[in-house]
Amino acid sequence: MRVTRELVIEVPPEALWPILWDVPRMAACLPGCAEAQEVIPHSRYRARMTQKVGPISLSVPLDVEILAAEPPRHLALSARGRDPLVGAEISMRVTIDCEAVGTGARLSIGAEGQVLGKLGGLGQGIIQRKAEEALDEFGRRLARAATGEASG
Amino acid sequence: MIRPFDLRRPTALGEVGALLGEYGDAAALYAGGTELLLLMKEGFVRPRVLVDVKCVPGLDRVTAVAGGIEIGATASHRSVERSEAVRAHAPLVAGVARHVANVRVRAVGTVGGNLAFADPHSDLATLFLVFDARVVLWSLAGERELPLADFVLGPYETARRDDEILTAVRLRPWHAGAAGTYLKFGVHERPTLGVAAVLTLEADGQTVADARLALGCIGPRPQRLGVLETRLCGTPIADIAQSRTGVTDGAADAIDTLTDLHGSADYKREMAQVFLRRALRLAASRAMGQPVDARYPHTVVC
Repeated sequence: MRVTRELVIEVPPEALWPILWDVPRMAACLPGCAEAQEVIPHSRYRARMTQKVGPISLSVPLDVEILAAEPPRHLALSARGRDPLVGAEISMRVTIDCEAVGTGARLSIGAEGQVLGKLGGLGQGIIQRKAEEALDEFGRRLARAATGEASG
Repeated sequence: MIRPFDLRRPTALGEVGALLGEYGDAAALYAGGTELLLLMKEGFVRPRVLVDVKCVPGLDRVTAVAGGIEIGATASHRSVERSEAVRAHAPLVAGVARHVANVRVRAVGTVGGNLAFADPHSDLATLFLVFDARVVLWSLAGERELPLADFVLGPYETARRDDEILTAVRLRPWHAGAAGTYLKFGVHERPTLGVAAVLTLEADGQTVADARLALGCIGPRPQRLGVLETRLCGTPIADIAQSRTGVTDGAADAIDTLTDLHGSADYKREMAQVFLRRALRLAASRAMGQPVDARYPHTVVC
């Protein structure tokens, strides 16, 4: 499963970068994210991701590891977790690249991941759609959070 | 293993509404259970309360009503197959009911459960689109009716609110003299692809006056193929019967398909093209009164 998205946010990369490290604000931008916490600053984080497909709900405690951070241009992280009730294992790698465009920033987000276990049999196509929807919503919320901060 | 749950067996819609109001999404409506119990066994769905709606009187009724057929939500596939009203006004539906899943599912699985569950590999959700189906949703707040096309939002997702129950589906029969077919193909028990086609001829018996086409199981939800329907109108029926028109060329390009265990999105798009052509050929032959060579398995022509 691979999802990529590009979006332009009307704040410069230097202003966007701190938001990416602001745990409560990032958690609010990620659909279904709760219980987000910092374990080791700029290195390890934990969060619970909850997603629903009709009557099927998935709740995964995720361990997040920062793989690379080059302020304010590039961030790479990995996230892994397992829902013991559904028996689903999730692993993904996310990269965020930020490039200055005029007075704003062009953000390229790439997520590559796998859903293993019984839930994977539900259909990778359905899981892919859900991931695309979640990433689109993340982009919208991040843009709102960033431009709100810029004006505030 | 199925996790413990409470079983409630209301005997009136009002009680169903009260239970749904009390438990919200912790309750699951239960009719045939052929889909729900599979998910419960896998641990995908863990309701605290199962609301068994089979004891609500009248919900299993199948009747001819003004302007169509009304199939109650808890009517089984078998009772639809045997219903005189369905055989008289929508024989294709009765015919397809005989080919849903397997005999155990047909005996206990329900029409309402099939639609409300919104499994993307559903025969009925595809077939009912060519009957301009509308679903009836009931709650303590009142009743509303939605086109089936707007009810199914995506795989396993519908417009039903947690406090609502799907009580019936209403079908609008075709024009007099129309010919229709439903074809499906699958490598598993659930269809990989389903196509429904209905053709009505002009009074001259030579050209298509009205076409209804629906395609399902290959994408997130079943869909009517409006562009293709428009293209078919005015086409000589003999050309369709002999696949001389090329009317389906490129038709699959715009079809929304999903990759899953049944096959890749590209594969399904190719198969859609093949089965659309077959379905139109069969419907056209029937419309012309010619013998129909329904040699494909699970094919119903009426």
